[in-house]
Amino acid sequence: MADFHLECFQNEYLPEGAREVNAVVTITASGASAAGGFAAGPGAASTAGSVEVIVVDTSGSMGGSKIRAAREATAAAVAAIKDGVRFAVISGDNTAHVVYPRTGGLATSSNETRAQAQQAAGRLEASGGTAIGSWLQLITSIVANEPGIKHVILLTDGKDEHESPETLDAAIQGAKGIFQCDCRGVGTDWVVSELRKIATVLLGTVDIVADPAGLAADFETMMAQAMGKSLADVKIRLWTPQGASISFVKQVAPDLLDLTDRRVTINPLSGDYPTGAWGDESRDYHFAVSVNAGNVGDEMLAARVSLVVNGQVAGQALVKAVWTDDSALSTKINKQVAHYTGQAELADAIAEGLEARKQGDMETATTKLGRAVQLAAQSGNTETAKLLAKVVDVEDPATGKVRMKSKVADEDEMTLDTRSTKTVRVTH
Amino acid sequence: MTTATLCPSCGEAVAEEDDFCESCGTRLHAPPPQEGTCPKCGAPADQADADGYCTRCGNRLPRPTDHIEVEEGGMALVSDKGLRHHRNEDAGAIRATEAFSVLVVCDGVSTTANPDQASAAAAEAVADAVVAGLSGHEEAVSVLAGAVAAAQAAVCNAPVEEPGGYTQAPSTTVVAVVVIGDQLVTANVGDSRAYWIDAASPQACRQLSYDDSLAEAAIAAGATPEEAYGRKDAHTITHWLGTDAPEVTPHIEVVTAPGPGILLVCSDGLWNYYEAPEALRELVAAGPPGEGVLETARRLVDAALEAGGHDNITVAIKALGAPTWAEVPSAPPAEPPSETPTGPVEPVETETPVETESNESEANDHG
Repeated sequence: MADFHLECFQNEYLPEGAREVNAVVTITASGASAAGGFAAGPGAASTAGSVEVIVVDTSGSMGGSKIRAAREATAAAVAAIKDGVRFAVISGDNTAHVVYPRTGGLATSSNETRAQAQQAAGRLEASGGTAIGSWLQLITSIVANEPGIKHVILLTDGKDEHESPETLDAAIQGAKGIFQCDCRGVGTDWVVSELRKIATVLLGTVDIVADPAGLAADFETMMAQAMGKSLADVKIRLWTPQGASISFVKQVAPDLLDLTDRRVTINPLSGDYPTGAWGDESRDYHFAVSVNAGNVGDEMLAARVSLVVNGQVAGQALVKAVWTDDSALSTKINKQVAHYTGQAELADAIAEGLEARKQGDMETATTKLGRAVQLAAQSGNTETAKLLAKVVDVEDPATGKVRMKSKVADEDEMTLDTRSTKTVRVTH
Repeated sequence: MTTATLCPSCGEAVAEEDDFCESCGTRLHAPPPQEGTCPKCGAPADQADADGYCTRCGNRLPRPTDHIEVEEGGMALVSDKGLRHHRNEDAGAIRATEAFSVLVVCDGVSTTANPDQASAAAAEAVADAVVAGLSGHEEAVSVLAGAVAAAQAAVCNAPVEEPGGYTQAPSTTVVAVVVIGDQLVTANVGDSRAYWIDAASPQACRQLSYDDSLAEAAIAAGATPEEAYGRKDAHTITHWLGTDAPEVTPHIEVVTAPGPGILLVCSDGLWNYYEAPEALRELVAAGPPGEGVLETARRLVDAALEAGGHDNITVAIKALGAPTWAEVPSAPPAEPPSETPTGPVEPVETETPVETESNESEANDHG
């Protein structure tokens, strides 16, 4: 039986006149892993009822080592699909076509179908262009009416250049809420912002696999993680009092994902935010709500955070506001809230710094990336600090004093860009 | 022609006929809050959620401890959260048997975790220990000392973590008075106080407890009361109950009531506004003739609320010897102090006042 535990971190004490309430809620799921077969709670989707689709870019630029790596990686991912899962392998270029099962649609995973799928993957050939929107459209049409968790692994090596950005956007919107999509870019000719857009809306991850040799291991890991999730359709329901407005709702760990615009209104005071499928894992969410200021001595429930699984409330956390004239209380900084505010600023500083660098504005780039170095050091985000050190020469991480490197490998810049939204948790 | 009205809470324009602001839900033509409604927005209290918040405006609906009134055995206890604190961190207890009464007031230290639980645990522990101990006819002084030790143990069991709150160990003050006949046995740690309010004479009024505060420490070291109470940290307490308490040795005072009067036990939510025993006497005496103890206690709490209600306010009262509060000229400052204890100005009762040594010295101190 899946069990969700919600823990709220905040300083509920506000000075007179203050309206903004911030809280970090840690949501931890246990018993939600599909590892135990069908042991997940009633109503939970077991992996047997879930759908996996692997879509591989087969445009001309994939020729050579990349397509060989993609075949191998697809085979590795297929091998990790559990029995009973409905799955397909799709080849994507100017259009998309199902290479397995040959009849189109989905196959049911077994030793036999997996072997056939691996053979089909071995025949993937690189030719043609890249129109990712058409791939998403095909997947949507195949999986839209399937029950359970629907997960897609998307691999590309290039820019989405054979369709308009509007077509891609429309395809992303069409897929929203239908399936989750983890995106991988191989090499350095793809566009981080394109894949991030897809992954953000489709509640997935985005990462770079600069060296094709690393692809198979990455695909296998991704598939194994997907197989570990048994709860589809998990939502955060946020109640706020009359007169309140929601400044933002963000997933802040393991990576940053702004959910603010994903609200689905339930009633005037409540709305749902999608969180995708869950296995045994823990995520942090940052809520910022603006409420009507109370008088000193007033206490208010500023938000009620409920986790809704298959229409049932599986856990709750209360976000409070207490107005006080005791400044010792109201000026206290909550560690979690401050930490994730810093992690969000870190991601923004990297994005703005890299953008400025592209535009040739080295002064802004140095300032922003310097600030990023400082924030990464302060928060103990060593992975991001390492990536930053490949783009700038760090003189003093404590003050953020850096110099731009004269030459930066594309791979390093794209890796920093792609992984800038990875956060670390508060070290206790 | 329409007149523009603005919501007093959020400033949005509202129509005259609207009952609630459409923007923020604040009740517009607010009638006095009714029992069973959210005091903030007027929503029926049955709309409260399981956690005690209004499901419309989110306001915390009144908790049972926000305002407490108890009357028992000629005693009354009134406790109120005041106007500036979000919860009542004071607690009190009154118990009576045929042989004795006990009145307890505890004030949870705001800058510690779960002070409301600390004070509640301490008040109950003291009252329970006194009733259990004195019913066995032990000496009141030793029973009270034991009761304070029991309270210390109870406070140490209060939960040490409060999300978002202070991190210091839960702490509270305690003041308890056992009344056996006309004998008043007071024990206290911290700065909650007990006063004898004499019906006959302002000069016979006195504080029975001793503040464990930096102000009193300064006075003991030679400062004048003006200097001592002028300090910013004058009200910082030097002793309390809690796991991190430096030592828990209550001040114990035994006095005999000199005549009819009122025993007043209170938290600093009251005495911050009415500090001098004489000032408290004036307040008590201002009530209508024949006023009951509960009404008197309520009036004292209301007086503190009117004065600002900055802190939680708790008042426990016991009347001794059917006091009447006939007009007594307030202590004439010009009059030289009397060497002998000041007797009743008007002999309203025929009981013989029995003065204690400490009462005499107190009377002398006022000279």
